[in-house]
Amino acid sequence: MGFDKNVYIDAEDGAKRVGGNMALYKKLLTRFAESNYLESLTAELGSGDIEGAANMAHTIKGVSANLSLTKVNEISAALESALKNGKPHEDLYAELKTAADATIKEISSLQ
Amino acid sequence: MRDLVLIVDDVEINRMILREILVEQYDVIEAQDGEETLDILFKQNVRPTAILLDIIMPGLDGFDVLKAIKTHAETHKIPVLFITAADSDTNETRGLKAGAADYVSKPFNPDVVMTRLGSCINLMRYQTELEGLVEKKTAEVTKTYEQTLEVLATIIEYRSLESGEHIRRTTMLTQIMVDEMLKYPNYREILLAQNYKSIVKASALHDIGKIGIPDSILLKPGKLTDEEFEIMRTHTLIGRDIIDSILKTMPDNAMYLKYSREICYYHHERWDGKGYPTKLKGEEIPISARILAIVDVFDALVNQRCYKPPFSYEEATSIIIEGSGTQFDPNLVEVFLKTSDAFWRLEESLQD
Repeated sequence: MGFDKNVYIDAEDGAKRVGGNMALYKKLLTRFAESNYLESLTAELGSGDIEGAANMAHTIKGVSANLSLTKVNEISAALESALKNGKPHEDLYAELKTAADATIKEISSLQ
Repeated sequence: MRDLVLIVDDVEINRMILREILVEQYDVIEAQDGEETLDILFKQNVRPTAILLDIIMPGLDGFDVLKAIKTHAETHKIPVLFITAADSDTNETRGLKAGAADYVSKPFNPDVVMTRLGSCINLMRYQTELEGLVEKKTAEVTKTYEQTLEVLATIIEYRSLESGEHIRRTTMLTQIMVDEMLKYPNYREILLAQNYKSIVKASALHDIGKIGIPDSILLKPGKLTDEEFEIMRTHTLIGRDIIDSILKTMPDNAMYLKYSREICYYHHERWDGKGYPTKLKGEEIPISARILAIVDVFDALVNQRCYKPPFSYEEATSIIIEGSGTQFDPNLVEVFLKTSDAFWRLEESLQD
């Protein structure tokens, strides 16, 4: 499958969640790659909607946990917490964007 | 038949994963937000066996949806499991306090999801079964109580030599009065607040105190002397005392017996305060006893007694009307007049 060398996706763990159905798991990953969660987050941060941004970070955290997107999950959790607690979030946002891009690239390399 | 589980989550990927986890054992439907959930439950009237409900959603959130589910009688028993993110302890606690049966955390662990969902469904079934049993047992107890009342009523009939049907008719006439009263908002409110069905059943015991009256008075043809009448009147006090002693042995039936007591004690009181035994007047007299006063007199008038021949329907009705505002509650006489046709039909079909 070529999943061994993945950095951003724990595919073995993720596929277990759907009963080892690798085809479905890949389909779900593609859904994530095609989603616009990050765009929404960017827009909410741009318009100063911190609560909306925190909720979007929460959504990304949940989805990434379910898909075992380890890096994105870790950073989105930190970002959600920063946004909710009024802490600086700019660096975390940048980190999340980088990780998400890399994750999506990794997803497309699976095809 | 497979159980139906409703998955509510605004993120399609989460729904798809849950569906995959559940689909082997359950039928699954999905809603993508709170509004769609309420539509499925209350417009399409779909009744899932259990609901998996995300908390943070745009629009109505999980707490709003849970509240709606828990406040509707048709849905409040459906177990709801919150879908939470692993770190949000506060949401989990808040969800359980709001009535969620349990929660499942992201990332989903298929075994945990299935086990918790299964437990919640089993628990709900068990609870429903227990409630059914309690209901059945309560009905049995009530039945036993009603039979006890009937036995008591039979004893009164036998002892007083009043017609075998007087007590049955009294109960049915009381029922007719109460049914009519329920049509008026002011009475409806009073009756609903008072468990009116018990009033009807309790009416059967109104003359239980006659057990304590000597035959020479109870069965005397013609008019009673003042002294005899004084003794006759004590049947209200004897009735009250009998109910009080039953209350001690059957405290579980306090509700029914409360009305039996009122009725025995006060059914010879008069609206103008000139009745017996306590001379209560107007609305001081419990409504149960005010109803019985009319019902009891009407039935006695149109049937033969050892001291009098039966009166015609017209004569009996005009006597009740004459007593309006003096002997009887004038408002209840109005109600009686609305139902007097039904009274008469019943009397004709159940003549002694």
